[in-house]
Amino acid sequence: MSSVSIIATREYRQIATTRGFWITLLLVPLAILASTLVTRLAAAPRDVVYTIVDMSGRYAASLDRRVEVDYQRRGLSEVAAYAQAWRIKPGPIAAAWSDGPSWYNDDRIDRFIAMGGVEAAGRAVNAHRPHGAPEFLTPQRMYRDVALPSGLDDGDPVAFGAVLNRLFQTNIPTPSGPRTLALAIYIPKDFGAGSSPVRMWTNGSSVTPLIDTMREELARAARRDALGHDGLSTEETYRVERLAVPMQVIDPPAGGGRDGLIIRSIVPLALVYLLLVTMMTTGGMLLQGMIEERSNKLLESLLACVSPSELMYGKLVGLGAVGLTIILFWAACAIAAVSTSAGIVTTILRPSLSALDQPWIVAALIFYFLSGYLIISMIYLAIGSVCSSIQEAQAFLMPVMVVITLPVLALVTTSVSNPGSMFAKVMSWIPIYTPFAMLARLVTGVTMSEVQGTAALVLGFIWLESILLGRLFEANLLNTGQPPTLVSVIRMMGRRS
Amino acid sequence: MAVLMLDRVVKRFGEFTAVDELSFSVPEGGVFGFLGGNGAGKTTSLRMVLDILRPTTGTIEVLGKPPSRENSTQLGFLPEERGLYRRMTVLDTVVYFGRLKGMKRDAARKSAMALIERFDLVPWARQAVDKLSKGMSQKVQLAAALVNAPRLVILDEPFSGLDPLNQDILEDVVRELARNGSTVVFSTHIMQHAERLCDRMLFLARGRKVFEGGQEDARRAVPARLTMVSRVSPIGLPGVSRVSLAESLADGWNLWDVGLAPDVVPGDILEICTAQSFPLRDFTVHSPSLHDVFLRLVGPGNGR
Repeated sequence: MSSVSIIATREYRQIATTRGFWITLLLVPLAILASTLVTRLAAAPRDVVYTIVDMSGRYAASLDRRVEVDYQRRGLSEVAAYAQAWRIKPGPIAAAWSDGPSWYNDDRIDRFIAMGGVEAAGRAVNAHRPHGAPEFLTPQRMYRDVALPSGLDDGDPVAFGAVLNRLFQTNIPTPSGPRTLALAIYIPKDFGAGSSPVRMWTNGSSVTPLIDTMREELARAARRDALGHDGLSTEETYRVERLAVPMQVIDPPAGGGRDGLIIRSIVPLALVYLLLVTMMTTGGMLLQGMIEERSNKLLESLLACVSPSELMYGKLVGLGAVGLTIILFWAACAIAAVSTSAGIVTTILRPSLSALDQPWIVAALIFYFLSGYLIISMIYLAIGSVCSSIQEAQAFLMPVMVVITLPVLALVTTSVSNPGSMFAKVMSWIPIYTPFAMLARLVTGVTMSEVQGTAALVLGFIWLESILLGRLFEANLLNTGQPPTLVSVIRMMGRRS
Repeated sequence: MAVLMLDRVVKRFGEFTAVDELSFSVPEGGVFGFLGGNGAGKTTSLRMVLDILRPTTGTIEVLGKPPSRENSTQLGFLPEERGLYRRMTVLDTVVYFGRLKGMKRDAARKSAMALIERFDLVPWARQAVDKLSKGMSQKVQLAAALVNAPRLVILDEPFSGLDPLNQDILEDVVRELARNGSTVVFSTHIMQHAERLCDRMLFLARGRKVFEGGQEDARRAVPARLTMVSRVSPIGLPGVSRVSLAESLADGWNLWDVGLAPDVVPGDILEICTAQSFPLRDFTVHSPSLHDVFLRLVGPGNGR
């Protein structure tokens, strides 16, 4: 076993046996899982209960229908997205979404409702779902109309308002369980003709979207009434209202477009973030180890047995192994999540992993991750080789991290909003940013020549960086006292041994 | 055969010359003292021997070869400033250094355990180093230096920071190594250790060699101090260069501190006193200690 591998093994064990390393390693999958659960919990609010007292007898049905149509439209969108993601064609009901979301107008929703609506569509896609696909869950209703106990809804608005305070604090039985009333709407007998306003009472909770829906539907009804007074028949007003502009929106094919781009970019972009997170954590450990060797006066004993370059390469190989462990562990977590779980994790992860369908993309992802890891690790090693305490190291580390992190974060944003931007392309050819830029752009359309060119650039840069770092190691490892100035560091790097 | 040979070695750091035209050789076996004050160039010279530093000019041979890490399989080195990986266990630390010196895992482990026993560290063998006292940590470091049963052991200020008990243990180890055929080179500025251990020694002052040889040679390099009790001042005796009255005694007798001219030994003065019937009540030769030799050779005005 060579000295390099003995040192590498020790470096690996030094980092891999720390609690901090395993906490970082486990924290990422756990954080993803936790955020998924939180998102799911946050996405499942309790339904809002409302009631309509329609003294005119003409508008309540229309308002309820609007709520139902909006619910079915949302359901149609979700079932269509689910069917598209899992490539399910569940028979005739698929016609409801075959033209894409731009065609989900009221006529289309009416036909969808006639076919059984979201409940029927849910049953159909679940009957055809492939192995590993999570069950499609029918979206929860956001609003539910409840009837009030008889006798409460036949008074005047003032009397009605007076009894609401009690109703707002009393549980009312609904199909989804007991709920307190959130919104009460009172439509006067002469709505549309007189000046009496529609009155709405809330229990103080935020029901603005529902109020807006009600307001729009009542305004629409008032306009229909006005047109009726002008001699237009009810059918005619509905026909005019539903008039659809003939147009065709061409959506990208399944998996294409911005949504597809985001889904396909999840793994590479996650690797960019993880590379940063990993570097912050293991880089800190590396720096601490290096400073321990310097401050503990260990280096002289080591350098009596191995050369500075063997020590440096040992550390780099050890670090590379740590990086590989991280990537393999997270990959194993992702695969385990996809193959064992049927939750929202797999809904996102499966299509994003399926974007990595070509071996060269996987190889490039691993290459850029490891090369990025090595490039930044060597910067940490360089800082560690000139500092004798963490405090000294912080002075160097802070500006270096700012220079690395800020452009990388800008790059991630740009890579999704504008993958072909000049900024992303230029960053791909600045070696310190190349791994990040190429990871971010890898599935958004880079050419093979770009991959080959940047890979050669990165390898060349790593080679140069290791030579310069080797010189710094040789010149400075046993120095004590104040850390050298930037000028003397540059001089040390320029000097051959 | 010389296990270590330096020939006109110079080491400069910019304008500063740390080691200047240093030449000496260390024969195989025995204990060689590398003596000098702080900043004399001892550590720089030893680092060149270990190939941690390269000489500006001159040649070095270690075990018949130029300095390189290949020699580390037969070298043991204990640096002046010592440190260990705090979270590594005692056993792992010693095995790690054994492996870096080219030992197989099993051999390194066996040798490490033997040294851990030798230094009474068995109860702490699987403890992390940061749980040990300073004295125990230094034993671990010594074990790491000796794990490969080295032919040449280089100890840079090995006694610094050790309590008297551990100093005695280390002296025993040095003697044991020499008895078992290893050559020990150690640097120090504490002459008592050198006096007890060294067969041969070299004095270094400001980067230059000022003496190389055995202990008796070293003592001879410094004029002996003579005291005489007589009524008359011995200043007129041939070979006496300086006389000072140290103490007035009873009945007119005086204690004189006598300095001798170069190349004059105390026996010559005694012979002259006898021949001239010079009355004496006491004639004492004070042989110089290594401490005196050190002060004389390495003190201000010596070396560069």
